Amino acid sequence: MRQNKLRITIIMLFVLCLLLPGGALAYSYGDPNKEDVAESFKEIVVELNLSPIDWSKAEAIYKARRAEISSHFGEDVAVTLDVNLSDEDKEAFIANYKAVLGMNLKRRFDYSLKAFDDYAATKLLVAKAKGTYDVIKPYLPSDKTDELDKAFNVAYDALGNPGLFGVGEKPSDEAVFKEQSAYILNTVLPFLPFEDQIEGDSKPKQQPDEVEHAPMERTKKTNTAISTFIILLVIAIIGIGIWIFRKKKLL
Amino acid sequence: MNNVTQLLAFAGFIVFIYIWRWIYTANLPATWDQVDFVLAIDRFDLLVMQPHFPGYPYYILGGMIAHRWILDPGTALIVFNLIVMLSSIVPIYALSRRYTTHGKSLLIIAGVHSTAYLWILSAQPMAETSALALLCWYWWSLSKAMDSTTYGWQLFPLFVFSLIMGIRLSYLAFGFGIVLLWVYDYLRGRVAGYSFRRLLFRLLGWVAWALLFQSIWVIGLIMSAGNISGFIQMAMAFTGGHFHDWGGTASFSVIDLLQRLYTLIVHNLLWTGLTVQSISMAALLIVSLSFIIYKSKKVQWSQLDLFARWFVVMGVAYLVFAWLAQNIDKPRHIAPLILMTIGVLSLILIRNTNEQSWKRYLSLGLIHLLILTQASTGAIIVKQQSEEQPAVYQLAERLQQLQTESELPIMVYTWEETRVFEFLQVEFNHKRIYTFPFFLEETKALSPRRIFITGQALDGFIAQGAELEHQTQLVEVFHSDTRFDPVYAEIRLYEWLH
Repeated sequence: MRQNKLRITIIMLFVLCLLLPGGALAYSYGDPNKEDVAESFKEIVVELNLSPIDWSKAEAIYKARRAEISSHFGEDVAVTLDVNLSDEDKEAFIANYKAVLGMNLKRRFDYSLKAFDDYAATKLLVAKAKGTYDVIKPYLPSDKTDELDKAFNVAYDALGNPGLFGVGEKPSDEAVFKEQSAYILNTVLPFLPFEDQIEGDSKPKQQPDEVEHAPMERTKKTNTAISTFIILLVIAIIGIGIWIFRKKKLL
Repeated sequence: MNNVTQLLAFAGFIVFIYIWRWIYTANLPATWDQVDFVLAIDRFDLLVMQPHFPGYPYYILGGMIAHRWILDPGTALIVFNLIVMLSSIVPIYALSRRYTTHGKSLLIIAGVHSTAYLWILSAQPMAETSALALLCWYWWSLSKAMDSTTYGWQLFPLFVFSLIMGIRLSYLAFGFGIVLLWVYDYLRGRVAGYSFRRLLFRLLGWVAWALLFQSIWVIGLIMSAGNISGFIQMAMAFTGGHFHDWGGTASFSVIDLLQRLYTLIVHNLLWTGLTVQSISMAALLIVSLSFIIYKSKKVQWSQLDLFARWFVVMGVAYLVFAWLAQNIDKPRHIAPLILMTIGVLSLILIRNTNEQSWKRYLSLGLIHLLILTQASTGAIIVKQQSEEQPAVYQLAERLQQLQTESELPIMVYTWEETRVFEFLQVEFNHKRIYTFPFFLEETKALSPRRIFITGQALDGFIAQGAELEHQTQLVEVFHSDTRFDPVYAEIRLYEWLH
């Protein structure tokens, strides 16, 4: 009797284990170093270099990023890009989008300087900056990119490292980080000018001073309301289970 | 042969094989994972894949501590491997003694430690060997917990399992043994007359302990990431990979599954793992197997004792996991089963051979032959591994040459070779590329610089349906031994013609 129970339990758990790895077959790691707005740029460029150009596809990709671009860099920037698209001006659109990537680079570095004491946040910000830079890199001259690669490495090291269980701890160096990020921006940004399309508006694009959202755009994967509901549900199920066991005089 | 002589012979053998492996290390990382581990010694940083997620914290910690005395980070990791593997003598001995005599237990340990494929793995800066050694401790701890009812012994496997999880998370399937233990403990509690409630709380206590032990390494990871939210963000980003970069689907049919099973068992486990692709080794194993079948009466499931059954169940659980969810190109993923098979094979071969004298001599002769063959093959292979220049290194050299020859800097597109180039800090520009349209765009932006691309990346494009007639020219092919790096043992280098 006991043998059978053991066997049945084992078989049931076994079957459960079989179900677990089912979806993991073609697994490849994700990459927190990728910047969405930059990845979309790659896709758009591919579309715009086909012939004939399917503008609606390019527009669809751009639309997915438009809200972001508008909130981070200002509505004017987004409108300019809209105009470039509707004019079907390929050169201007690509050039301006590259400029947006440059703005993104600046944004990431500015926020990482603001949040410099928060190691985890700064690391992710610099990773995103690097992800943006990697997309721009093929369009920059190669002698500059070698220096820029080095600058990124030095900047990243300057963030320090808490180490593993404290072993291998390294302190951070804000001065070095400032220096390197300034160098990177000053080298890269001149290659990525933004051509305004709004008439009579010739002042340079600036970041909105008051920022309502957090430095890292977190796509909220969990909704607080749903999480709370699920936790309460689990507690309820356990409670009911205990009540049933009590009734059956097992507990 | 009396006990002292046996012990001396055994000790001498062990000393020899470990000193040999210490000398002939392949400490220069040649694959993506190896580079990740080696770089992590100097800077533990999951975000830049040092090492890749989930971090293998105990392994890197061991390497860092060894690094205090050993200058080269790769060697530090390998030495940590060897030390942990050496310690596995204790649990293997204890487990063998459950089933056979002192002298034969020593032979079983020698049999396991002489396995040539494990020599290869232990001389690389990879987490496998340490995890395998801890598995031996884990299995022994399960047997102790099964034999005893004291609380302390029940905690022992939970603790060892947390060490394993902190070294190699993919051995999770072996956690099934703990589930079996808990079910068994509940059932024996019922037999002894304890109430359901009391046993339930006992079980919940263990779950709590198990989680507590696991949380130690998780907390270590969180500390290294800075704070909890940063760690979670990073974890979500890494585990959200899937098919994004490929734009393809992972469809699999029954035929694919059967093919996978064939590759797993025949090519990975038998041909590469047990025989290191040597025909003489295969012959020897077949002879041994035939002898075992000849001398054994029918083996029934009920004849196996409880621990043996758990052992088989865990082995099958891991086999299924490896079959369905792991990269089938890498034989090292089946390493636990290689270890288990050799152990069981050695045990069955020499156990209970007291009846007729010729059988006894044959079985002892076979096991000694097995040990010597595995050890000598292992010694030769490990020496070869430490001296041979991996294909990826040959490739790097050639590309450096091409870089110096060209006026403009060259650009190289690869798959995983790029990580080794990063480690070597090569002078030429390189990057990983998956998607053909992105590649085309970049080549346009980069011209007139010379562009090179490796075979793996090119095959990736062809798999995506790219038309590559007359666009590439083969420059050179580089070779190294497939047993050391099955995927990148052959690297083809092409030049991209604009």
